[in-house]
Amino acid sequence: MSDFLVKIENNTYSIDILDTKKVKVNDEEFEYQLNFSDNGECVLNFGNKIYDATILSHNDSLITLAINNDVFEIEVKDKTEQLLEIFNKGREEKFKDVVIKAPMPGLVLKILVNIGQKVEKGSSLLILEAMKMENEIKSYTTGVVKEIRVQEKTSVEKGDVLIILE
Amino acid sequence: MIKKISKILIANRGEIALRVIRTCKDLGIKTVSIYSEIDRYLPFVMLADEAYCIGHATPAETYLNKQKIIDIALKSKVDAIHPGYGFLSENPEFSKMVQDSGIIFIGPPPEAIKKMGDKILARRIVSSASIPIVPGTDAPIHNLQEAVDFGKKYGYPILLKAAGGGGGKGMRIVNFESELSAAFRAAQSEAKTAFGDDRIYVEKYLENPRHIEFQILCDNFGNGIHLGERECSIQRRHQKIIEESPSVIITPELREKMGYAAVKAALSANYINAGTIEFLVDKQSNFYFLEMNTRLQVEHPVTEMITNIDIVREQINIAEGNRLSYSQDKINFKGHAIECRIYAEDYEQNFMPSIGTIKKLYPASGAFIREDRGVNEGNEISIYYDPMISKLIAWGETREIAINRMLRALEEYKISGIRTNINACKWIIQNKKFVDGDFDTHFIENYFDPELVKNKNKDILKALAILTAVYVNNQKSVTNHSLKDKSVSKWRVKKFENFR
Repeated sequence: MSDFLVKIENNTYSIDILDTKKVKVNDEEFEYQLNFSDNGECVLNFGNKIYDATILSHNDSLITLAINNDVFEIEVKDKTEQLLEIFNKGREEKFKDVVIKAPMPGLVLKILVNIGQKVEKGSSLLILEAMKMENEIKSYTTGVVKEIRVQEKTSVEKGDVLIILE
Repeated sequence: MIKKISKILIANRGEIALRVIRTCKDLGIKTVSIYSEIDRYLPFVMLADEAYCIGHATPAETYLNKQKIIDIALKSKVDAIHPGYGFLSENPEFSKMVQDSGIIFIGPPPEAIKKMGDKILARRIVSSASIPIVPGTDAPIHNLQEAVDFGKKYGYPILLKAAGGGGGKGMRIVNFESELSAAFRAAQSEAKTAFGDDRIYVEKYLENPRHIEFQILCDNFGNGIHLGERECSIQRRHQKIIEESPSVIITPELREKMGYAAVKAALSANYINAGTIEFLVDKQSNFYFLEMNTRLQVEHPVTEMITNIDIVREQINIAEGNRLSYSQDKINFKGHAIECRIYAEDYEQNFMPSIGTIKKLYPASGAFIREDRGVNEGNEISIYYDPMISKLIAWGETREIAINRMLRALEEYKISGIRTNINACKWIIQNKKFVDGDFDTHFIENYFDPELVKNKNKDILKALAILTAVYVNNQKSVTNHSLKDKSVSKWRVKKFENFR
């Protein structure tokens, strides 16, 4: 087992950190130089290129990072977490709930679905008004509406749970 | 009567307030900014000669607060008010209140705003000056049935539009009669929130048109000129993203014809000051009057770049009661200019506005690049106002050079902390259809795919895997003492020390 298992955009990398200059990626050794500053800025020399990234958030094993105006969500699992995952495999629930959260604060104008309704990927779930615009909140997956946590004409904060699909 | 203007209040915020302040400084005119509490740290507040807080945050209590703005104007003894774009810029009541307070309104007189700002009245005026218009209802409709009847008569698609304002708000395209009732409700409620006016009118929706507008200037003596066209077809939900001048489809003959129509349209409404006449142009180069914007446009810099005319300066000159500084034959167009509007929005999530603090901002610069930006690193993009961060403008001797320069600028530009459409712009200007000039107003919905934008190059992914693994590894060894200081980041403290 390697030090870290990193999942990014459907690719998985096994990383072993040998020291502050050498790292193994999928059993191949590379040289690198990496500096961090207090505010999450990092500069990495790898290959013949320089990467300038910003760590935006770090929750449990999930890191959100910005580079070249793109944002990546990266899952990093250390040895303990990798072991835990192996242990938990098969014990996981068959159906996992999908939580639709408010991407920004705003006013719930209209709820477009009912409990029990089947929705497709891309179906509109509700209309959230923010910045003078009506924004359609769409489902990013197929599922059935299990719970509606908000009411029409109420305000929500960023990250509030709107709808739960199963 | 000529009255020299020596002090101006800017009744706006963000980049356009700063844009006006800059010209004022060029002319030795003193400036007054008004600002909401949450805008306190923005450059337009810092760079004005005087700044007055006008309220907390919502547009209604701040930048739409007519009486309070006039009170501040009187108190600070300004000669004139510049309204920028949006907010009160096309509000005839405000223009009238300003005039009645003995202050110059830098923009058209209230009657002209009323005529041309009311989209229905404008169509009537323009059409009687024998300028072609798109078929539509010449009065706001009273109920859904009238829209249904219109659809039956002219066929679908039809367009529902707010009578009270533009910017894509309160606007819906309806392809089938079955969609009409829901779209009508949505357009009405959006128009009500955005403009306090839920009147809707209906017009025939032209398919695959190009959106081309003409910048015009008119003085108090009945003189009018145009400063050429701006191609604004690259838009999403009627919100423009990329504009350029000249347009690849406009020949010198067509420019002359459309420019003449634009000036005639403005003069037929006794229009004074800067304005924009928007046209739709179909595949056969037929043009139809769409609407007039009775204000300075967001995209005015592309015109400035190819004419070398400072439009805000001309606005002030006209407002002082002077004649136009140029006659039509003195207007020369040089090279090509492109503007990209940089918005705080997430193109991966259907261009949802992205709010938050700008953690990092490395602007683009270099030869022939202009940037009009209203925020700096450390500033906040809030839910209260438009999410535009900046306008990036590139000039080149040819369109090809201008596009390459824009690409260079977008590659230099880095923002983090909020999502932006920078990479979406990069994708657009490299798209073959765009490069070939072969596009219409449906370009984004037909061709844009967020999956194509994000750079998922294997080298980058590998680099990020190393970076995050080392980061987590380091965090583990320092977890204990980094935990206690989590509420306020050191960077923020440092940043705001400068303001004390």
